[in-house]
Amino acid sequence: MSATDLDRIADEYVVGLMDDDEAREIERRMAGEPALAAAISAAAERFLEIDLSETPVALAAEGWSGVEARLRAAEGAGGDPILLAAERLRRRPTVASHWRTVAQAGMAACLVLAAALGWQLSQPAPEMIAVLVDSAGEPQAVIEAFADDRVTVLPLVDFAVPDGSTLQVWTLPAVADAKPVSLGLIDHIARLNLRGPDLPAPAQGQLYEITIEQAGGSPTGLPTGPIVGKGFAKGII
Amino acid sequence: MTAVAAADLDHGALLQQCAAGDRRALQALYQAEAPRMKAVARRMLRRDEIAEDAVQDAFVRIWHKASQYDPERGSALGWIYTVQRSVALNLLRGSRHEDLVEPADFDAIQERRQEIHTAEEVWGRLDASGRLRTCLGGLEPARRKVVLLAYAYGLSHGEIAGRLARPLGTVKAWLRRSLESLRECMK
Repeated sequence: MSATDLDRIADEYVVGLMDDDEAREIERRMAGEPALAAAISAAAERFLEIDLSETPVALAAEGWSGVEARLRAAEGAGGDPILLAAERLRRRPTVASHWRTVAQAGMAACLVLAAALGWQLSQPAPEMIAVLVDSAGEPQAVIEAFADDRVTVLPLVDFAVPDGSTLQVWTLPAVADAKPVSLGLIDHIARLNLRGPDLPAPAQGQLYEITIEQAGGSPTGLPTGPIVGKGFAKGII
Repeated sequence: MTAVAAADLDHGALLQQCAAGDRRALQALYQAEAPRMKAVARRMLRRDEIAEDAVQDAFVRIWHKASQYDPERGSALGWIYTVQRSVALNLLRGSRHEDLVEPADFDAIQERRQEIHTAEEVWGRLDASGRLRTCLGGLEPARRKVVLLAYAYGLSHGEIAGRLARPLGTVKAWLRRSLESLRECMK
């Protein structure tokens, strides 16, 4: 490839005229092609003044701790983007859809790991974690269950809830003759804290599930609607 | 940590410390550069909270890729802002599709007019004696504008064509030739 071609490609990359696939390909090649890397550095230097002439703006107060949390999440898996997406979801679940595709593309195992890492960061530590999967085995949400009957729901996908319906969170305590117990309703996609009724401490193998119920919750007090996801609690090692 | 004036900071040394695993070096870079990096991300992404996300993502990438920075090739700031721009462009490309059509509502029209208008301001605030300002000044205004819309706002060929109501082929040709002229001029 001639120097002119490299310069042209470098300009297109730096100016931002490539689509995602092309840009990723360039980033991959840069590591092994010093001439390309040099052309990109030179192009970046040409335009840098435009960015350096920007007036700095205020950062979110928790900005640096956000970086640290993402680094901790990434360290567990060599910077896996799915972990980053899951960590972001944990921290700011209502914002943006850009993580969603990434999160959905992930494998269940990655998400379980991501979730576990997420929990280790939160204080106090939950007793149990359950990853709720749908009938296809895709993770849909993560439940963290605390000793004080509190549960936190972390949705991993944007549930499509029909109008007039609500999502209801259930558990089946791991004791003899137990019936499903409602932990609460979810009407929007966000990290939610639900306070359940007085129950035995969450236990290994305890079932959690989310169903779609009519607005106001299941009329029978037991799950009746389609299951969005279900999973069994596991303790943190 | 004591605040260090950005001008006194040795960004290259900090990147090398990051590569060696020194988290405090990353924090020093964050304190010095994140506010300006967020301004760049916000210019491209428009929404404050997404820009904040983009900056945090960029610092994760800076941490993991710091060893790839080669001071022989270019400045540390150039490398850092390339990472930030790549993250922002990634978010931008992932969140939209090409829109060649006319903007749908009044606010969107206003916003786009604003972009076209401020593209000139971006040029105007560059150092008057600098080469970038001079070389951009050597381009016809319409051709200067397409370069700035692409670089400063992350607009694609198609989006620029839509904004300026020009055929896509024309915009592509303008960009290609403008970038060539700039390379020549800035040698």
